[in-house]
Amino acid sequence: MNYAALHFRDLPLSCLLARDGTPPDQPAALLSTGEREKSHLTAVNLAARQFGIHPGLRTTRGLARCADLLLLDPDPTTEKSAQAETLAFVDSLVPDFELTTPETHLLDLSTLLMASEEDWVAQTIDSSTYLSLPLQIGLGITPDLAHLASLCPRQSDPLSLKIADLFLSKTFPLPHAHVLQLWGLQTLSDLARLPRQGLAERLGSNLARLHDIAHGKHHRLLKLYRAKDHYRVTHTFEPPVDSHEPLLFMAKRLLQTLCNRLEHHQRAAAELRLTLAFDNGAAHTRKLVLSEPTLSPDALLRSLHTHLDTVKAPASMGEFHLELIPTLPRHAQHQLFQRGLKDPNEFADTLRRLSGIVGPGRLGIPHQLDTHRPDVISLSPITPDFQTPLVPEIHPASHLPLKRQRPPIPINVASEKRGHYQYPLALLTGPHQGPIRHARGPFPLSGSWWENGWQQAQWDVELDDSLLIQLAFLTPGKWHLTGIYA
Amino acid sequence: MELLAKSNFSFLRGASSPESLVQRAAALGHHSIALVDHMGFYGSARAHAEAKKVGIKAITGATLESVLGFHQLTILNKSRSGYQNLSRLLTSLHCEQNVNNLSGHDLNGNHAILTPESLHNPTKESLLRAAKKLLDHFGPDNVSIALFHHFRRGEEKTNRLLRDLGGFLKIPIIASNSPTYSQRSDRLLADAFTCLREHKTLDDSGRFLECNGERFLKSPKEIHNLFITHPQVANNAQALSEECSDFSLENLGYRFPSYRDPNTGKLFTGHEQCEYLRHTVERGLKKKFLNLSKKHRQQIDQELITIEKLGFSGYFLIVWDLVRFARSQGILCQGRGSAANSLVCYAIGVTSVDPVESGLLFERFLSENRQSWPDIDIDFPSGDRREAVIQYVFQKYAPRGAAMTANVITYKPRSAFREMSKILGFPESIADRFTDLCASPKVHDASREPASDELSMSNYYPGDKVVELAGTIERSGIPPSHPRFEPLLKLYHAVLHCPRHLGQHSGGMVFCDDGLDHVVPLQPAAMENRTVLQWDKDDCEDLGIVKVDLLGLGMLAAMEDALKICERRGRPVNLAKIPKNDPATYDLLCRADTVGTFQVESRAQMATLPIMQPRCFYDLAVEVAIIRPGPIVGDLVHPYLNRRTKREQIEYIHPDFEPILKRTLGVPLFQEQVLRMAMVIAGFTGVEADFLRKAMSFKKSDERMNAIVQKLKTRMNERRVSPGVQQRVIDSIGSFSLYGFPESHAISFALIAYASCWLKVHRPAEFYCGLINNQPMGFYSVNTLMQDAKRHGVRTKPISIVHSMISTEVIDDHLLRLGFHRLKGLRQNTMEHIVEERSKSAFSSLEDFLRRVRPNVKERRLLAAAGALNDLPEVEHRRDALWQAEQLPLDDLFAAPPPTEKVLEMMTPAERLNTDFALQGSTTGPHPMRLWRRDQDLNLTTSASLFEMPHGKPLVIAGLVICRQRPGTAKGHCFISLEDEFGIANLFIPRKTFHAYKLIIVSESFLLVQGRLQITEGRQPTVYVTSIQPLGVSGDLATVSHDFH
Repeated sequence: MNYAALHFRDLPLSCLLARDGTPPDQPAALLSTGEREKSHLTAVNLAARQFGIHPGLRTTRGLARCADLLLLDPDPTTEKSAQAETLAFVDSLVPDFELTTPETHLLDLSTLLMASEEDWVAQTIDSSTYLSLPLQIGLGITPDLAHLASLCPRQSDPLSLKIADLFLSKTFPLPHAHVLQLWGLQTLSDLARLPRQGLAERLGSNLARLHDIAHGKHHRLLKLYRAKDHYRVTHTFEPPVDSHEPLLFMAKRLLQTLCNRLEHHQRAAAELRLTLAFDNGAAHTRKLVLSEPTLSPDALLRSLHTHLDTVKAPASMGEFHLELIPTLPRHAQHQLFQRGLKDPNEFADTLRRLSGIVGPGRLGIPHQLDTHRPDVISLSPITPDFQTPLVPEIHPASHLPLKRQRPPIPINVASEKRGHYQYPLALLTGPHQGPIRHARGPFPLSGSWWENGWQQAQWDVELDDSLLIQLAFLTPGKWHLTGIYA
Repeated sequence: MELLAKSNFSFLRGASSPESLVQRAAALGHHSIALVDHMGFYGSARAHAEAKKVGIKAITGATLESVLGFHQLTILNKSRSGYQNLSRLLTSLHCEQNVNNLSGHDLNGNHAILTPESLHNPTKESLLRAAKKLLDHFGPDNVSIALFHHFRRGEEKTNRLLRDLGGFLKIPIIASNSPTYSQRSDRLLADAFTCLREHKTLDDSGRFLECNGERFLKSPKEIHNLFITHPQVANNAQALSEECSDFSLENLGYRFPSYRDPNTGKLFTGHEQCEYLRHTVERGLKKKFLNLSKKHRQQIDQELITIEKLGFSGYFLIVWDLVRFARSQGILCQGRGSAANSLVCYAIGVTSVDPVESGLLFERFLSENRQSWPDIDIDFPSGDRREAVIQYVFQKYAPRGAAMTANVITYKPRSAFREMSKILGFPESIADRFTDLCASPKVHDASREPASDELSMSNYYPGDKVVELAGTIERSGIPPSHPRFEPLLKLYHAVLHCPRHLGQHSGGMVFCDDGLDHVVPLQPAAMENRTVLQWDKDDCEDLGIVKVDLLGLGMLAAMEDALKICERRGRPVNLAKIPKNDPATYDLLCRADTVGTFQVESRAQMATLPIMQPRCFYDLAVEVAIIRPGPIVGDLVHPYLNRRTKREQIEYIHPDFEPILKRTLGVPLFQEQVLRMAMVIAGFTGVEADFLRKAMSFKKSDERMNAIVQKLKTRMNERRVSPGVQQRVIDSIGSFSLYGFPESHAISFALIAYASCWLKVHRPAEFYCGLINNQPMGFYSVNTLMQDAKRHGVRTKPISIVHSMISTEVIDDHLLRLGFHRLKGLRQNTMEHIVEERSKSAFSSLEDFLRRVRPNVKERRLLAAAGALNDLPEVEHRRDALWQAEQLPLDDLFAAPPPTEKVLEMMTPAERLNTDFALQGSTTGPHPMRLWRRDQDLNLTTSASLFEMPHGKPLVIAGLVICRQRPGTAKGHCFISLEDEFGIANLFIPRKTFHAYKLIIVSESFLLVQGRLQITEGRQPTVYVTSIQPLGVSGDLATVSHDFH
């Protein structure tokens, strides 16, 4: 047998049982997410199956059949850590394997030296006991047969696998499961007994492929698994350093290594993540998003350098981590009529420097927000193609040019209340003072009452010297000079 | 005067109800208010009613969209003809396409108003063009220009343009605030509606929202101040409002249609209608009675005089015409409700109850004291046959002479929360969770109120119970500390009960001789070929528009089918002539063998029948009335049954009640009795008694009920009635306030119930066939009906493409053949195609069938799995058919014939059972319990053997759950009907046992039950359950049970 499949049965449930040290004879089931009264069971252990409880059953029905049924909510954190542990376990067994599903790993045994397959299976099961997870191992001459064998509870013939279990495992495309059920097919061997041509004519190529798999006539290549931290490196300084030159020196070498790894897997770096650990316990973490995927260590180093120029170290640096986030390399060429940047990374570098000068969140393309609130703008990020965000055009109600005061100038205004609003009479303080000759308004504005509501009443006033001014009255009792009409 | 108000009946364009706008207008000192809802008079009826209450004028009008090139065009009605013209125009806009130039529409009596919002981006030129167009269409005296002052930048410029235009064309200018809500605080809901209209959240809506909250209803003084520089505009508005105030909805001009001379087609005059009705009644009486008694003669004369005095002859003739049409089409029908109190209705065939013989009071139906129109509801077989009658009315009064009344769909707690949380940007999952919590009993427990409060969801979250609502919202995932929690609460309460959209009433129809569209605008209903009014039934009633209810009843459809089959088989039955004293029918009732019958098939009815032992028709009417929430709440079941079984003395609460309560052994069971009790003990007049009846009909109107009860108490005190008697009288009324049941209604229903029982006894094959063909209906699943049929000697054969028709057919007195309609997923045209092809020549093989009928792959599987192909040659069993039918035959002359090997195994009986239930919901094979029992060694009690066992004997019984009941009145106990291959066993699960085994009870289809036998009153065996466990039946059968209804 060239292949083995390790199937950690009902991992989302069994990892919780392992975490809590639940005895194996305790019937347990995993609940679907959402309202508990309407939930169903997504996974059940063997003890629960003894009571006629199976995945898909309504929770109430499950409890009706076994009052002691232990109901567990899914815990993604525990599940994730269990998956990491199983991965590490499988990684320790063979160099090449496929992560077929989070619960199943397909192993290439061809490079392995072993006395006998039975011994290897027994040894593997024995060595997995520290995981406390139920493990089923299947062996096969093809990866898929090994996979099917691992889905059988008692490491038996893969053809004894129940079609219903195969459907629930969602690992093989089974588009006509209900028809197979109508046909009365219980196990894979029932399917294998059907004439292949008749099956293919009736239910199509997917079933024919499954038929071939069952007969060991279908062989495929494994999609080898590579861990994510393949592109992460850590370096410790001994003794700690006080400047960033040593860091850059080391980073240059390390980035070269990481880029080589990426290239080997036909990937490029989309993001550079940096973590600096200081002696006083402080840490500095930054994500440097690259303008376009790159494999150039120089480009990466340049970005890192620019960023380090803006970092003030609170203490000596003892350690740093670098991680490249992989993505597919860019294959497209620049379009003939599309003006692109010659070096997007350099442009990103420039922006990073500017951001270091003006402060975070203060760099971007301004655009007026679609609101009645006056003079509210937002910054959208600058992209290499200088794409401006699509916002509705906003035209001022008045055709007179307005010179806005930013920020508005608080002033004192003599006013009187008429009805619901304050009417201005004279400007008492501020750059322009004097009695008001004419006033137009109020123009009350308000909005966002559902969160951080605001309101003001605007006035256009003419002073004795014919100066036209825009005022705003803000509750409680504040007046602002918001602009001067040209 | 405010001439341009929009209510929340403008659907997402206004935020206040017509009533609140009118109330606010009155409070602010307006003498009138015009409601100009978007594209209709939706809110006008309510505004009119409210205006009458508060003493101001409600002017009618509407805002049209996209007409004459206007974005919005507001039109007011100056006269009745104006109202009628606008109503017709609105109908055309809703019902026809491309009505935008108004040519051919009479606009006499209408007044158009050009507003700043009439055009998109108004300019001097466009406004001039628009104003000239209006002058051309409406005439120089019927156009005004409105100015708005909403404190917005730029509006002064538009106002100046409009003022100049008015001066140039000499068009009067009026002032308005064009309010879309009544108070400043309502702006929140207005903004929310804007978001819903634009399909945006509040955060995304930007300048779609109003820039301020100034669009509320302002006082005349405020309006005057806003336009202080042009005082004339307020005066002009006043003048226009006075001009428009001449017309109100009281002068609607609606007239119930007159009957047409059947020979000439001309409308009858009032006198001619009276004569014709008298003639029709006499003819009917001759058919019904060989010798008319003196009592009958007196009654008919009195009724005809009353009808003539009240001018309702035409109404009776038109209802008679509907019934006559239905009968001519072979459609069963029967009047229900208080119409059964009328001998005239009986004589003309509208009802089937002789009120004189049944001792029913005509005054309950119609009296000179009551000015309201008589209420005749007619039951028709539900489905196509009722639709045929509805379409007849549409045709008869076409064009636009008939319409369904509207049903205003309002925001309920769940929809209110869903929509308001959506516009506040909360994810849908929060609303899903809120919906779940609302449905969950846990939430209801938290706010448990007295029983009456559980009747409606709206009672869970009334406005003052913010705490409970807040708790539910918090459990839905929004903590009170969330900044949008408070806005959500406010919006929720603001939108709750606001109109959401217009639906159609289930059966209420309004019609008119000379076009209903001049009375109220019509619009297309969601159903094809139907139109709906813009007012609901209460609006119609308030404005004197008469509605006739054409209701659908599943049992009538089943009985009609059964009667047609009887006729086809040469054993016709005339329901009117079946004997009302058939001993076999009463025997069936006495032994509660009533599965499938009308009204008396429920678990509670079946438990009462053996105690009641009905032996005459009136007993059945009492039985129908007695098992109702009203009498149960009032604890009236046992007194009646105890008195009937002579275990309790008959007494009449008060000696004066003896004549009233004698027939019901001193227990008030019927609404009529309660009314007459009030008249006797408290001296209520007919009008007061009618008010009491209405208060009892308004199920949850505590206000009305309290008022009338107070009055009753006062009167009884004046008459020195003892406090004990007073309390019992009030208790009797209280229990009816929930579910009043008039005697005439009980008798009408009892007639159908009796007929269904008679058919079950004397035409069982036809009866079951009718029921199976008209599912879903009634209490039990088709499988239970088929099992019941089997116990009555009627077996059912499975579906076969060689023998079956579309519907289930009777083969002989003891055999039915299931029709294709029972197969879930078989298309109608495939069914028709099978029957059509088979009528040409029989299918010679499966290949021949597939070639000629060409069913799709799903249908091929369906037919094969259900065994419908088994009768074809070369098909050995269902799986053989499945294998063969999976592949369509090739149209290739030279193709090799498909191999005939048998590759699939035959289905086991259990597999066949599972497949039958999954595909048809029933099986013609053995009962699941028979299969289960075959594989067991357990010696269990069966439903049949219960009758032979002594009281108190311990037993174990198993079966399929067909009904679970836990009525609120049962103090937590539960009742289950358990079916096995021998019959049905009744289980009683005490409250404690129910709680201990609740999950098993509610979730398992098959139960194994331990308990002891109880022989209850009427010698009915009931299993008193002590423990329950699920029965290990293989597979999950897709069984259907009637649960907790």
